[in-house]
Amino acid sequence: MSKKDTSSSWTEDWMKTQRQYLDAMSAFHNSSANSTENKTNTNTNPMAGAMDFWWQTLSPKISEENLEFIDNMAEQGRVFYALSEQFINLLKAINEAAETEENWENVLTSQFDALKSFFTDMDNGKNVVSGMMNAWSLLPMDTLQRSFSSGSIMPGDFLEDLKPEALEEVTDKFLSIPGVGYTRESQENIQNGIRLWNKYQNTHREYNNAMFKVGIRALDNMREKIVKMSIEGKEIKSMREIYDIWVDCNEDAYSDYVFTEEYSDLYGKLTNALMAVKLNGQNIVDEFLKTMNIPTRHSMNTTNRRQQQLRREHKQTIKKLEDMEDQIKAMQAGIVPTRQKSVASGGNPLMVVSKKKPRATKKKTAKKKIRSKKTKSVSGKRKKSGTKSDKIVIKL
Amino acid sequence: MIPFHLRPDEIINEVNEFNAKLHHGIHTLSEIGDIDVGASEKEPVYHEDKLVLYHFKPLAKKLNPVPILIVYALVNRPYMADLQDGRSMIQGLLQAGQDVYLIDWGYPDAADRYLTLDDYINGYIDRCVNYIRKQRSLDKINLLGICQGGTFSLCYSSLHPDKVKNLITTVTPVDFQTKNDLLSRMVRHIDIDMVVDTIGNVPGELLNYTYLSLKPFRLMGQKYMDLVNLLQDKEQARNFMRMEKWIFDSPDQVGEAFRQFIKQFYQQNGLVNSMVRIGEDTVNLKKVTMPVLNIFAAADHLVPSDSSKALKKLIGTKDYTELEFPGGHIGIYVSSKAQKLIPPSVGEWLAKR
Repeated sequence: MSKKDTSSSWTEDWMKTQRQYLDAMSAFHNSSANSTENKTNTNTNPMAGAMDFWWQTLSPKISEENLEFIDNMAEQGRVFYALSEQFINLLKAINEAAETEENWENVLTSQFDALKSFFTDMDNGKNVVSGMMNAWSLLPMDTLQRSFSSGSIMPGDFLEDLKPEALEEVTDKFLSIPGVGYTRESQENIQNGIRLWNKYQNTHREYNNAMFKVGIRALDNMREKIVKMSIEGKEIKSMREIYDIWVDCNEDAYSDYVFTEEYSDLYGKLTNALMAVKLNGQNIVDEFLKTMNIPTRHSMNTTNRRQQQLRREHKQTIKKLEDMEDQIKAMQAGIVPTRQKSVASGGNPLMVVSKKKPRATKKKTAKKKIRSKKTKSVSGKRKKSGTKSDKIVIKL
Repeated sequence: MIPFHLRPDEIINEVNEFNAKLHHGIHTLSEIGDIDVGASEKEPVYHEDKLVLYHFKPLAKKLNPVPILIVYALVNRPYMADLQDGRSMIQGLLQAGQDVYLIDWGYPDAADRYLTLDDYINGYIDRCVNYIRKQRSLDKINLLGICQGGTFSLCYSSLHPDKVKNLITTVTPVDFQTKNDLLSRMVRHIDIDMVVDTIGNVPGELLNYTYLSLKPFRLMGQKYMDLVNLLQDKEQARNFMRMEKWIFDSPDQVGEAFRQFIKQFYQQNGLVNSMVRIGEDTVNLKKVTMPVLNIFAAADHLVPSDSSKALKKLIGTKDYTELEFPGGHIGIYVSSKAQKLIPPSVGEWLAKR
């Protein structure tokens, strides 16, 4: 083990150094930045705070195309700082334990317990380590919410702030009142919407709990991995190594869970519950639009469906015409495609030469008589030619 | 023994170094401007709705007389196959003497919502194939499918075996319910009818995040940490951004086709169970009797190699070849290793047939 610094203030010094560094960096990039922005920052981690300040000054200069991507990168910077800060505390405690001959593994366990509290604290999760918890908080909640609300007729997520804990007591009473009168159907739709929203929120809570457990398991895995490394005589020499171990453990814990039937079931339930809410919302909106004589989503779907069917038929007609044109050209050139080829390519079977002789009828118009004669003549000249023997030579 | 060998000054140095790289990297990225994609010269030769059929300018003096049509997936954009000079499967194919066409599906919108798999396979693909056949006065052409485009190519070859001379599938899902297929597990219990009835076309953004959710910490976190170390020069930054652009350039998925694809392929595992209906016909892979080259990636987390390898037992051809690429789903098109292996192998395989 390398030389250890047990100074009680070294972590504070480290923070201070970092802050100075980032402050200097931010001053370098934008000396005219409004210093009040920093005061409004709610980050408790000084490095991440300085990072935010610096990012606020820099981001207006970055093109829109690259902004989201660079923001992701900066977010990982914040994650790294936050993770570093937590592990500094852990290392400090272990170093102190080493001095007092306390079992370091016990200290490691208690420090990981503290880490669990830190990571699972929702305030921390939102303010300090949002990037770190991104995987859990973004998926699938944000994904589904954002994607489906953008694809929904109701813009934005108008139900975002409705929380079932507060809502359920009130809604239970409301939902128990039967719909009456002229607007009975509308009342029932709204009641159904609230029921569906409660169901979705409960499923979402269930999902979050499951992901929470995965997060905790990841930290347990990490602690075990570190202990195992010590037994195997392996060394951790950088913060980046710690970060990589943390990522590996999270991925492993996540993978262990998402490949279970339980997850598959839960993910389906969550998606279906959210869809049911959105579908109900659309029906309500449609109802309003209908009363105002504005085209509804339902009517637009009908129009689009019919339009697609017309386009399909139109394309089939064009195809038939093209095939007929080709066959006429081929006939003019003295070559007629075979029945087999023509039928396989969707061509007009009427243009295919038949083996059977045309049945003569007693009453024929002059035109029909001529056509019949020609067909007969063609049939009579049919012959095979080589392996691709389906071509027939005719003389018109 | 305590495994941590970190001194405070070393930690400070490391974080400082990280800060410096992050700062430098962000500035590099802010200065690189627009990202260009595409390496090979091409011209649009056929348009239909939002579809464009491209023909690439041949590079070799001696050309394969049978052209090859690349059928890309509906997911993401086809420039992945021709990302940049030196990282382009198409460039490799052209150098290997192939005459290359490519279908670009475009970006569907609400008016396209009711396009079905029948419209895509018996409609668009068939018309592109017919166009090329007619232009070249050929009965059959070669087909190369990429990912979902490979699945479409398989269906097409089963339904129109008289028009396909050789079939090449790359990272193509066939068995949609292998044990290590996370995408399959995610959609297994979803009421896909309700999803499509609710949202119509499926937003590309949703697919992006679904893919990220397969490995969330690596793809949303660690990747960007690694990037900090790569961004010391603009060219590396451009290469990375080009990939990033492609990853997040996701067209919306047409509602009806998406419904059919998820239900028939993922939920019913229709290719394995012979339950895929395209238009009036059921896809029977035993009718795929032309020579088949099946290329898959050993470390593919989107389409597990087992899913692709299932093809061998299902198709009717007696001329079946497998090629395993030691990499991932995307590396098979853009990695330098892939450039040396995939296009020449395809060229040689086709030359023998």
